[in-house]
Amino acid sequence: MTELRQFTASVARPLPVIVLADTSGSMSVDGKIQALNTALADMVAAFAEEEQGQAQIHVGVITFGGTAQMHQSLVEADKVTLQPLTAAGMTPMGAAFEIARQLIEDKAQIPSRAYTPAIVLLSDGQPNDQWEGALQQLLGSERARKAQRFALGIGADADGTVLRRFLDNPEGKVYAASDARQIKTFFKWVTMSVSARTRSATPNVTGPGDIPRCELDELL
Amino acid sequence: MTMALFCFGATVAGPAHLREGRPNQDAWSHTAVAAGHVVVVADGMGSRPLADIGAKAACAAVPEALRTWARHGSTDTSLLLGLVHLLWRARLGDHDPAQAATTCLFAFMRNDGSGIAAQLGDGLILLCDDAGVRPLRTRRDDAFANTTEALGVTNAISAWTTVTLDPATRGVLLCTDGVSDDLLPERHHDFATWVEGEIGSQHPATRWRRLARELREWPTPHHIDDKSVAWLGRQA
Repeated sequence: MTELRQFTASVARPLPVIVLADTSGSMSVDGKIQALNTALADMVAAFAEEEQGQAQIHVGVITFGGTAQMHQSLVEADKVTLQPLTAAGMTPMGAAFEIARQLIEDKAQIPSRAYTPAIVLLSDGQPNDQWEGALQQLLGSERARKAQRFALGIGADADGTVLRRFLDNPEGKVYAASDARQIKTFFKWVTMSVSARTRSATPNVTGPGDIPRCELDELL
Repeated sequence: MTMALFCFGATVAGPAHLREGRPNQDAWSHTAVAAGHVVVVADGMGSRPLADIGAKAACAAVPEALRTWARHGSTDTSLLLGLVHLLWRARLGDHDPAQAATTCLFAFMRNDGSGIAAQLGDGLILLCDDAGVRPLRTRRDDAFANTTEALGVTNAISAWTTVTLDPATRGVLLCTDGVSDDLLPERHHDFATWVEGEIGSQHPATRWRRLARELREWPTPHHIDDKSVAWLGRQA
């Protein structure tokens, strides 16, 4: 056995995936929250089985419905026991941005040896709190602004402006789910994109050719 | 006072490049130069197609720059670093520097014990003297793994971190980030002591093999990076 074991980290470098999920009351209709629960569970299961990867994928879930809260703390994917999301209340997206910023800046939870986090935002409506300042702080945070970001607008009432500002990338695309089934399609794409990073020799570099094509339409 | 110096090093391709059949994009070199010795480690940025060429060019440019710098009697470190940039660029010929971007870490010790250590980009330089072991540079708190300054990314001399070595320096250990990102900061002292003592005490003709074997058997799960380590220090 190598003597280097005494000087080196005994765990793989983490690749954090943080989901910001809209769980406001409107998500309770048309099977959206059920589809989200299924899609999240499938993503976590796929990450837990990711054995070829160079990084260990960690998953955390922040919900914003009525209040914003850490629904699932950031842990290794194979240790996640995801409680089903329920939909109720308004859409405090700004508060969710703030929780995400604090999480990403917390070096005890995301050490410097971690790979750049991925943040996934999905919403079917418009935020109804002071979201702009919180988003600016998230995007202005030295660590959080480096994160890979994914965004999904669900249904006709999704606020594309907010989601596009979250991406903060002229080449980034906000995808549209016109029905609950497409929420699963979106999460499959996120799963493939993150898995591709873990198999890459350069997990922090995500060029256009590194990410698989998403089958969803872009949100107009 | 003249003192005997000794140095050694090794570089190995990481599992990701071995699996993909791609070359090691790290490099290291040792050169006797300007009344002393210089060791260099360089980590070609993995996303760039000419990363391996860039890393090798850095390992050749530093001793060349030192020779020129010393020949003209300069003591201005910024001139030396400027020469490193220029000569690295010249060695690339018609290649696009951005496609060959590489970190560059080096230590130069004269036979009187004086010298320079300098770092551009990720990785780790440990300075060892009788008072202990300290890093030349601590990791930026806002950073994540594999986000770095490099030759081919910046021309700013201010992006380098440098230190002047004095005769109290026992040795300097250089590591690319494939090594340093998995090292426990609280074990830096023990790691440097192990490299100097355990590897340094092996026969000069074979110690690089032992070091390379240790790097190939790197114990951190899911490690991917190429790995390089070099030591330059006083003979005990």
